[in-house]
Amino acid sequence: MTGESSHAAAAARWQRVKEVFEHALELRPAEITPYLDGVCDGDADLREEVLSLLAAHGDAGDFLEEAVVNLAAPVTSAGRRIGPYKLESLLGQGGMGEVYLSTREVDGYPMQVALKLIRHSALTPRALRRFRMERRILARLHHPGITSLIDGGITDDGLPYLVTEFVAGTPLDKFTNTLPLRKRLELFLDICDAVSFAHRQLVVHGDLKPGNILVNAEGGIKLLDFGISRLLQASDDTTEEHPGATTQPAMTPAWTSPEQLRGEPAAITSDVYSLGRLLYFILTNQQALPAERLSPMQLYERLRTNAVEKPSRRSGQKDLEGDLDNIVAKTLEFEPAERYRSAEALADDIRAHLGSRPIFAHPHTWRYRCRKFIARNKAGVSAGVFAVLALIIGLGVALWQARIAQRNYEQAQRRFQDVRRLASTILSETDDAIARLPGATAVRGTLVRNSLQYLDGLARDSADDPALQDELAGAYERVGDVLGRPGTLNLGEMGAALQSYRKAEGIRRALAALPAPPADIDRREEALANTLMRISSILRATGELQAALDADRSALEMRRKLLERAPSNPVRLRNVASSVNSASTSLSLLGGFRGVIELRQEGLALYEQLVKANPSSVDDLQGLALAHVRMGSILSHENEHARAVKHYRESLRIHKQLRAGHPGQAQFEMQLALAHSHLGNALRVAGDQRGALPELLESESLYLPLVNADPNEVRLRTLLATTRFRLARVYTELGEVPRATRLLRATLEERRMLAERNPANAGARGEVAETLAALGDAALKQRQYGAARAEFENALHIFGELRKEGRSNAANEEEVRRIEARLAEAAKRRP
Amino acid sequence: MSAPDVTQLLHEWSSGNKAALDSLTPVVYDELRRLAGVYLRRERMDHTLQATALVHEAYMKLVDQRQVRWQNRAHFFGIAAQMIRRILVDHARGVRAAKRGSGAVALSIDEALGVSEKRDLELESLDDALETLAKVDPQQARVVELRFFTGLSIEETAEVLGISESTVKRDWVSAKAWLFRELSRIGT
Repeated sequence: MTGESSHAAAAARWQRVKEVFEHALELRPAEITPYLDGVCDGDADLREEVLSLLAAHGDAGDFLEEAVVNLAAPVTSAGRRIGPYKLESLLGQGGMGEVYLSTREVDGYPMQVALKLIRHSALTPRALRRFRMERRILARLHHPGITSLIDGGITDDGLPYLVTEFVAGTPLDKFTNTLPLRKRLELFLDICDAVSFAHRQLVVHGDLKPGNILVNAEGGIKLLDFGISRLLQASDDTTEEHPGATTQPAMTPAWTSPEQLRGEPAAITSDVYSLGRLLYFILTNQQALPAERLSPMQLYERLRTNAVEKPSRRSGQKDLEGDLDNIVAKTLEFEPAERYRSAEALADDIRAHLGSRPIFAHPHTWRYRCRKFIARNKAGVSAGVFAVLALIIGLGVALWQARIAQRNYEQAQRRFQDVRRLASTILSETDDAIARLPGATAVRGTLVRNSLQYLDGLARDSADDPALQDELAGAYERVGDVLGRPGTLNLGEMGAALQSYRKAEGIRRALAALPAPPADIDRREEALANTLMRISSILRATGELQAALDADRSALEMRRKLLERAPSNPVRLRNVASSVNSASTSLSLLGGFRGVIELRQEGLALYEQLVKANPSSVDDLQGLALAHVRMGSILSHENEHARAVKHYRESLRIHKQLRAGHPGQAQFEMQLALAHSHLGNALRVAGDQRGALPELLESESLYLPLVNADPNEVRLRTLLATTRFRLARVYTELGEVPRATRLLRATLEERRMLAERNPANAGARGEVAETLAALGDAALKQRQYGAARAEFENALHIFGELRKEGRSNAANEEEVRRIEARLAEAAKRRP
Repeated sequence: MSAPDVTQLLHEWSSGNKAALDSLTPVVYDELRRLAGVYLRRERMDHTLQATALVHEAYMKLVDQRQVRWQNRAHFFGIAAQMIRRILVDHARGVRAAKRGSGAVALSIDEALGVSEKRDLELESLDDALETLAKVDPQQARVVELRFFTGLSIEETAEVLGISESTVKRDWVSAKAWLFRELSRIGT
C-alpha cells in the first residue's frame, strides 16, 4: 500500500467514524448499543472508536468553547452586567453592534434603558479619546424629540457602549400612515424641530431614516441614535491633509445624501437631504428611489443621473402638486448648496404651505436640476451654514461670510469641518458651569489635545486675515490655559501650555505691529499684554525667573501706557494692578527684595480701589485677596510676622466670602483651602504652632474631597501636599516627631510622583528637596544623625541640579544655606 | 498594498472569485507578521490579547471600513485564523523552551504576565492534534481553527468555508470529542 492510498483510506475511515458517531449522538442511551452492534457488524475497532468519542463528548464540557482569541464576539450578551446596567434582552442588532433592553436600579426601582454595545472593531486609544469627547457633547442634547444619552463608557473588554432612554413606540416605517395630510406634515415638522435643535448644538445626525424615528401612541416622535453615526466616526482616524474629514461607517445608503455616499462626512445639509427622503416617504408611503440591491456607488450614480419622480406623480395624490412637490425637490437637490440651508428653513416652507403663504422653494428647481449648477459658485448657501456656526462660537458673522464666499467650495467644506470641530471643543471647554465642576479635568484634556491640531490647520490657512488671526490667538490661549495655566485647574503640562501661549504671542505681536485705527491698536496691545502675563506665570512656575520678569515688565509697561490713555477705565486699572503683582512676585523670587514691598503696596492699593468701586466683582475680590497674600509673604520674609499674619487673615476672610457666594464650585473651595494653608504657614513661621495647627487641618479637610473627586488634577494634589508638608513641620515643632515623619514620608512619595509627572515644573522638584530636608530636620530632632545627613545630602543634590539648570530661586538658595548649616551640625555628632 | 485593494479583493472573494484569495493572503500575512513582531517584542500583555489586538489593527489598516459587510469581515478573520494559530503556538513553544533553558527567572517573569504554562502546553498539544486531524479531514481542522482561534460563530464559519451551517455544527461536535480524547491521552 502506498502512502497516498493509506492516507485516503484513513480519511475515508474517519468519515465513517464521524457518520456513526453523529448518528449515535442523536439516539437515546439505551438505543446506542443495539445501533452499534448493527452498524459495526464485527468491526470492533469502529465500535471502540465511536464509543470512546461518545465518552469524550460526554466529558468534554465546554472544552474549546471559549475561543483563545475572540474576534467575533458572541452574538448575545443578555444577562451580562455592564457597569450598573443589567442587559435583559436583545432589542436589535446591526453592523455596529447590538441594542439591549437593560435595567438599572434607581432608588430601589428598576429603570429601563436601551444599551447599545458597539462592536465596531478594536479602538485605538486615540479613537477612544475621541469617543469620549463626542459622547460628552451628545450628553447635552436634551430635547423632547430626541432620545437622550444617559451614560456611556468602555466595557472591561474594551467595547464602547452607550446608554439612552428606552422609548416605546412604532418605527416610522412600520407606522401605518393613515393620518390626514396635515397631520402627517405636522409630524414631519416635529422631526424637523428635533433635527434643527441638534444642529444648533453642532450635532449632525448623519443616519436619518424611518427606522430611527419612533412614533408613540400619542403621535409624538422620538429620534433615536442622534449623533451616533458621528460618534462612531470618531473611531476612524482622520488623515493629515483633511483633519475634519472622516469616513462614515454608520450610514444607511438608501436614506443617505449623495455626498455621504461619496464618503464625505455628514453636514447639516446632508441631514436636510435625508429629511427630504423622509418627507417623500411620509407623503407617499414609498421610497423616493428604490434602493434595494444597489451598492453605495451604484446608488450614487443613480442619484447623480436620475431625477426623483415627483411625489404627486408617484402616489397619484393631487394635493401634493405644487408646493409640496417643490419643497421635496429642493430638499433632495443633488448639490448640498442647492438645498435648504437648514432643517429650520425646510420647516419654515412647510409651515408657509400649511398657512397658505408663498414658499421659498421655487418651481424652477425642478428644471434646473443639480448637475447644471456644478460650475456655479456654491459658496452662498454654505456661508449661511457658517453664519449659524459663527454666531455660536462668537466669530464675526460678516467676516466669515466674506471669507468663505471668496473660497472655493471644497475649501469651504474643509473649513466647515475644522470650525465645527473647533467649535464643539471650545464650546465644551469654555462652558464654565461644567469646567468648574470637580472631575472635569480629564475630559478637558482630551478636548484640548484634539483641538490643537485643528488650530494649527486653521493658522496656516488664515495668515492673511487679521480678524481670524486674532481669534486663533485667543483659541491658543484657551488651550494653553487648560494644559497648564498656573493658578487654575489644569493638566499640569506646562511645557505644552507655554508653546501654545508662545504661538498666541507670535500672532499677537504681528497683529500689534500692523497699522490700524487707535481703538484696534489698543485692543491688540491689551490682548498682547494678557498673553505676556500668561507667559510670565508659566515661566515663573518652570523657574525661568528672569524671562518671567521680562515678560512682566513688558506687559506692565504696555498696560501703564494703556491706562494713561483712559485713566478711569476699571479694566485697565485692574490690568496694571495684576501686572504690578506679577512683577513683584517674579522680582522677589529672583531675590530682588528691595522694590518688592513698594510694588506690592501699589498693587494692594489698586485692588482696594477696584473692590470699593465693584464690591461684588469676583475677579477684583480674588485680586485683592492675592495682593494681601503677597504683602503677607514679603512681610514674613522681612520678619514682620504680626503684620504678615494680618494680611493673610484678610485674604482668608475674602475667600470665605467668595466660597459662600459660590457653593459647590471647586475653584472657590480650592482657594479657601489655600488661604487656610497660607495663614497656617504664616502662624507657623511666626512661631505660633498652636495657632497654625487648626488652619492647616482645615485646609487639608477642604482639599481632600476635591482631590478625591478629580485625582488627575495636579494642582490640587500639589497644594494638598504643601498643606501636609506644613502640617508635618508644625508636628515636628510640637515635638510629635514620629507623626511628623510619617506624614513627611507620605508627602515625599506624593511630591516625587508629581515632580515626575511634570518634569518642567522646577517648583515640584524643589518641593521634593524641601521634604527631604524636613525629614532631615525630624531625624536630627531624634538624634538620628546618620539618617539626617543622608536626607540633607539628598536634598542638597536636587537643589544643586536645579541651580545647574538655572532654575533655582531665592527661597531655594536660602533653604540650601539653612540645610548646609544643619548638615554641619549633624556632621559634628556621631552617627 | 493600499487599503482599497484588500477591500476589493475581499469583495471579490466573498462573491465567489476564489483566485482573489491567492492575492489576498500574502498581504494579510505580511501585515500580521509585521505587527506580530511589534507586539510580541513588547511582551507585556497576555499573548492572546496581543493576537486579538494585532488582528484588529491589521484589519483596520488593510480594510476600508465603509465598504465591507460582515461576511467580508468573517473572510478576513478566516485568513487571519491560521496566522493567529501560528503566532500563539510558536510563542507558547518559545516560552516553554525559554523556561526550560533559564529556569526560575523566566518562570517568574512569565507568571507576572499572567500566562500560564498549562495553557501553553495545551496550545502546543492542540496544535499537534489539529495537524493530525487535518491529515484526515482538512475542512474539519479548519472549522476548529476558525472557531477556536478567532471565535467565529457557526454562521460566520459556514460563510468563510462555503459550507452549510449544519455541516459546521456536526464537524465542530465531532472534532471537539476527538480532540478532547486525544489531548486527554497526552495528559495521562
